[in-house]
Amino acid sequence: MSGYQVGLNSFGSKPADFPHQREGHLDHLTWYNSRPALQFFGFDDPVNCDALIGDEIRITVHDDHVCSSCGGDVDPDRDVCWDCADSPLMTPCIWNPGTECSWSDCPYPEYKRDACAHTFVVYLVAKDSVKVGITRADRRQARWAEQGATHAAIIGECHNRKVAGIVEMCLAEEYPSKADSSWYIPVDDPVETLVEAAAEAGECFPDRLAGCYTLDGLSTAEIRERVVSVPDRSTRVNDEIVAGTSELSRGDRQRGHVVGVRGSVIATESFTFNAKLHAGTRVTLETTGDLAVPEEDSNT
Amino acid sequence: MTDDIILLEEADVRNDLEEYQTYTVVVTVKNTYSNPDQGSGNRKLQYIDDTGTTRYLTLWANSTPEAVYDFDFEQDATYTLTEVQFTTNESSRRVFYNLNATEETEVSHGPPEDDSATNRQAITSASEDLPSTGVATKDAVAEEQAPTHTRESPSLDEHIDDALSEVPDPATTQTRHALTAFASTGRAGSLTVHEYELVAVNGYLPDDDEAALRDTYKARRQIARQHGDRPVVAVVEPLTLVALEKIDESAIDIDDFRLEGPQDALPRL
Ligand SMILES: [Zn+2]
Ligand SMILES: [Zn+2]
Repeated sequence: MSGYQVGLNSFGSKPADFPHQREGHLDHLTWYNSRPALQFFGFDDPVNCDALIGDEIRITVHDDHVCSSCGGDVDPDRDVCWDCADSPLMTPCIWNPGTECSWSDCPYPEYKRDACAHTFVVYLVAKDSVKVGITRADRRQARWAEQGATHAAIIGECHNRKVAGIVEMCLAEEYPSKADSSWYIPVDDPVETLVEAAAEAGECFPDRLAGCYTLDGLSTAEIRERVVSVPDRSTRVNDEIVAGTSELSRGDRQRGHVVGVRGSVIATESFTFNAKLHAGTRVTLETTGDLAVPEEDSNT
Repeated sequence: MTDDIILLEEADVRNDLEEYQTYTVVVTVKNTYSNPDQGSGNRKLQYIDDTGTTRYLTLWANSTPEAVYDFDFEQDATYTLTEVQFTTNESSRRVFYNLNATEETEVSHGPPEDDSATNRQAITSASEDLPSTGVATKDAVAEEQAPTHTRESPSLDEHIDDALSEVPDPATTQTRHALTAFASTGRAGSLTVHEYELVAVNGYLPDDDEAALRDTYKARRQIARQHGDRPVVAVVEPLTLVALEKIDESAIDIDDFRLEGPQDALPRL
């Protein structure tokens, strides 16, 4: 169904230079099925970002917002609602499991069972430099795309979130783990940079967790085969120019032609829109393109 | 607002503070965090309260003065923050206790000026949870002996011990194939949860769900204190607790309640 595609003319105000519009509280930019799509709270269908590329858009970032985590009502001076603020997801033990998680004394046994007591992978990604991260093994593809990495490689497999967090912490001395989500200029030769880092990373694993390193004894060529390229839509983008443009903030309205999408960022030739910064905020997206998500491939 | 000055380390905010009141609080910051995954962001000051519980005072980026939000809080240093608001809320049948800085909050290094010392004294001794007579209760004694108040940050080795504490042995031996022992996806099946019920005794009845939930949290603290090596106990709903290990009900003494254990452990898959 496409009831959200309201022609602006129906409001009788503006000329129809943007025939399609979506207005709602932004959730996040997903890369489900390797396709970038903007999700809004309360809408079943996300906005297909592929259809925006090459088209002109106008984005308005309004002042009001809902809970950035669940889309529920929230006091104007808060980012997240009460329900979400104290959920396990918002606690330091999830952000910094290596130092903050008290695994055997976990205050959230059920959450631990559902979300932490699984195989976690430690990975390196190439962005403007090499960064380290962890994620649940089955979430990795989406995670890398949402982070906006160009390439990624798994370097460790760990018993649970905390073990992975410890390895991440040890690697963070070499490779930063908290990445900025803005548009960036990719590192030169990301694949070789990643291969080199991945080959050396075993040194940083604590001795007792050395067995978690998955590249031990592999040749450079074998490691190179394990580097995956992460889906993005930035081949037509001049990174130097886009990284130098301004990011939309609250209260801003700008128009431009979409040149690419990477991670949480939609790039135009004159500004970028970083969805991650506006989770929960009411956003109006107007476009000359089509908003619909294409039918899913039958083979996926 | 009130003129009350709350020493967070000596307080149990759940019982000592009143909802929607603002307080001047004195906090010894154990750590600071910000959640990078949350829009315009927040900063949390971690402290440990009188019950040994790790808690947070939250500064929200869009409702805290910049000077306070950007303040350089140092670990283990003590600060005074004014106009901090206490609220509670309930969700999924749990009660959350929130301390948030407000637009009026100011921060200063150290405890407040001397002239407030008497005031401070009055507040702490008036708190409901502390014994009002000279007779030391079991709680108070246990409290003093509890080693959890001075917490040194654990070493890397201790963190690894903790992280591997529930991993089956074959998976952790140094074979360089750490993961051959378990599946890479799917739910973990090895966690057993023991469920306990609080049964009111001596004619006591909590007024309502909220009171029952408070009683349940209180019971959780009492269990933790009376049990040798602080077991993992979580509140499920009013009058229901779960533990990761078996608790000897007969050895636990809870005000107004009796702890009733499971006939058999419930394996949760
Ligand atoms: Zn929420
Ligand atoms: Zn944890």
